Amino acid sequence: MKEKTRLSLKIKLGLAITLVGIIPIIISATVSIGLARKTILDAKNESLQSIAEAKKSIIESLLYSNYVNTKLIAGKSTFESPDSSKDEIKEELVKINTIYPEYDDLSVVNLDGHVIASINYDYEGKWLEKDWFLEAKEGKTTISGAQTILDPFHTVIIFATPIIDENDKTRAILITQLPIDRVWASIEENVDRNSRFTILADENKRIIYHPSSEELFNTLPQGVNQYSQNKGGFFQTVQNGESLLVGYETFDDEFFSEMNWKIFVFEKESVVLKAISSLELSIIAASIGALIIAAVFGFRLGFQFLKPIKELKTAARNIGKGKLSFRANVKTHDEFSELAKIFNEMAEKIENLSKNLEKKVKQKTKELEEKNRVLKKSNAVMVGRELKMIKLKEEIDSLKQESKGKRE
Amino acid sequence: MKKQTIYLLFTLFIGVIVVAAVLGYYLLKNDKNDKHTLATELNIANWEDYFAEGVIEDFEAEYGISVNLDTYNDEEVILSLVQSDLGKYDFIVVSGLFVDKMKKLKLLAEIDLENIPNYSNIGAGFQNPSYDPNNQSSIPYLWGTTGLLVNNDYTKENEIGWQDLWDKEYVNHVRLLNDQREAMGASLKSLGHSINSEDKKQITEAANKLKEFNAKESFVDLDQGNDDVLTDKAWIAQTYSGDALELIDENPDRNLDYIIPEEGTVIWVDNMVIPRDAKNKYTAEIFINYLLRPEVSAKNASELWYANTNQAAEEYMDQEVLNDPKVYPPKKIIEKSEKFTPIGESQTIYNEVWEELFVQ
Repeated sequence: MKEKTRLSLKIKLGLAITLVGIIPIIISATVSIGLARKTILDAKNESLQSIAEAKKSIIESLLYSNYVNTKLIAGKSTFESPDSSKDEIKEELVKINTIYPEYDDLSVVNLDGHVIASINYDYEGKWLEKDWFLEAKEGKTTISGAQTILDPFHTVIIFATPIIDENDKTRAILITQLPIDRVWASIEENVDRNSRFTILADENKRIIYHPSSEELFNTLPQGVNQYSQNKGGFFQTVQNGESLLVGYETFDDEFFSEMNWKIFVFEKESVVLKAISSLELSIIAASIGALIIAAVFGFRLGFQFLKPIKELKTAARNIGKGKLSFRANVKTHDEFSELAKIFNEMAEKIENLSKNLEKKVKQKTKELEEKNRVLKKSNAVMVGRELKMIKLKEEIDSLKQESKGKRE
Repeated sequence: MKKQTIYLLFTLFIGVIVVAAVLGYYLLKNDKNDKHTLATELNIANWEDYFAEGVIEDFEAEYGISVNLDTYNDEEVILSLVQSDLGKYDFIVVSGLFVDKMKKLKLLAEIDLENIPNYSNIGAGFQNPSYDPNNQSSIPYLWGTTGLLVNNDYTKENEIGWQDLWDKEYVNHVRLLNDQREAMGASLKSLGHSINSEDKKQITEAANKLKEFNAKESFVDLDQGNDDVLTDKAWIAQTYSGDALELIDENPDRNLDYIIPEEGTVIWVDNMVIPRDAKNKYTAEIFINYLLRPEVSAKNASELWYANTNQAAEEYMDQEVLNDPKVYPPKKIIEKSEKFTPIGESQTIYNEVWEELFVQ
């Protein structure tokens, strides 16, 4: 049979005490890590939403200023006058473009949807099919959603405003095209690290701006769309196996309400967690420290508990060896000291018993010695007598011999 | 006792995994099933008069699906509509050039050819086109040419080429398609240039030539041009082969003809596509498969007088149509003809010269 591994009581007690110490440490460490993570993630989410809101405001004000600019430009007399030739209009457009270089293209379009003059002629679309053009014809300044121009491939936001002649009649429509890159440049601050990116989606949930051009015009991923039904907020989603924190806002200003765009600010959770991980590390380090302390104290306590037992063990061993005067020295004032007291009493009794026995042995020995001496004395007397007898016998024998010889 | 506990836990663990796997399989299977359920309704858009009579009705009767059909006369219009609502239509028909554009704009869904076994009926020459490799997003429908509908009461029989549109006798009685690429193509071809020219000089030259027409009167949509010829307002109209031939067939008493100009012309292939967010994609695929049935396809091509991309349909086709060189032009003409391809950044030059025609 295999012998069971023996663990000394000392180690058992030390382990038991250490374990009791470890459990609360582990629990508190876990709770602190969880809390820290939650607090930081919540703060991060809220900040992402604030960033989304800030970026949204920047875009809104940019669009608004372009809306106003377009209206202002439409007031140029060259456009309003029916006498202006196509070339004069074009010249004026070029001049305006030097003042407002942000526009990709400026065009004056007649009410039949044909371009009177344009700087680049890069918009091929059928004007009369576009709601924003028709609304401009009705006298309203409008902003198109994101319009894509295929050759060369780029996306613009189109502003359309009526050009009113001196008789208060709409003469033509002024069209300005603001490249979406320009919108983007306005919000792409340098603080955006690689881990954070912003995307813009139009009212059809299509991505109209994304740092990766391949994503352009894709529909918002389901995991993003389903969580962004409110005006704004934050959520967590997984895209391509990467966990992302997202803050979003809707363009809900009355002025842009028809656009109904949404802006999303994404941040990789792993990056946020990396920031948390240093905090986690210190919690873990502190916990390990606490664990070591718990272990040290646990074992020391264990030793302390076992000290009386050790003392009793030494005492018992000594008494076993015959040192009957040995006493256990325990001052713990607990069960152990009682045990030691009983032990010591027992030892005392044994010692006393042993002492009495010795006395009796000595006495008996003395008595025996006396008897021995008396015996020795009488013995000597007896031996002397015997010797004299032998001598006498010898003398008799020799006398006998002598007398015999004389007779012969 | 301890060993028993471990065995119990292990068994439980395996049990949970098995149950999860089975559940997952059924859930996924059901999901797949859902995707393969026919809808009760199909929203489609097509060029005007681009289905033979009865084709839609037969489909509705056979599958119990009600089909809502919108029509258009201008591809730009359908492009705009799809752009503003990707889920409005489940099926539309566009030319190769527009397949290319719509793919660039990510407006098209990928078609699951597994649901369209009749795809194999399409002639090898029409499969895997350059604008849509492997027919990822488009399935060829019919093909045809751009040519001229003429009234031989007024024109010299069979002697009309692109160049003749500028004949002093005819110039005021010509209708050109109100389509930048088609009208410019006619002018470029008359000058002996490619319809896909990216040469600014050639483009300007072609546009200047078009200035001889009164833009507002002469550049009209397809139906208007054909109507003008029928009502004698015009003698010559740029039009599409099938539309012209059908009209001629319907008006045997008129001295009408369809002419493919000798300089060569525009050959185009129309394609069935599914907008990206189509609500009934699977049903649209079933519809496409139905349209590719040899009998159905033959009916479409024969009645519409268009050439068929569906080889298997040829035996069911009206022999008159199948053997008509105006439907299937002779090799000589095809060799001189071209398909529209994207013109890249020259597009802005086309835009400018085109707009100039309307705003003098």
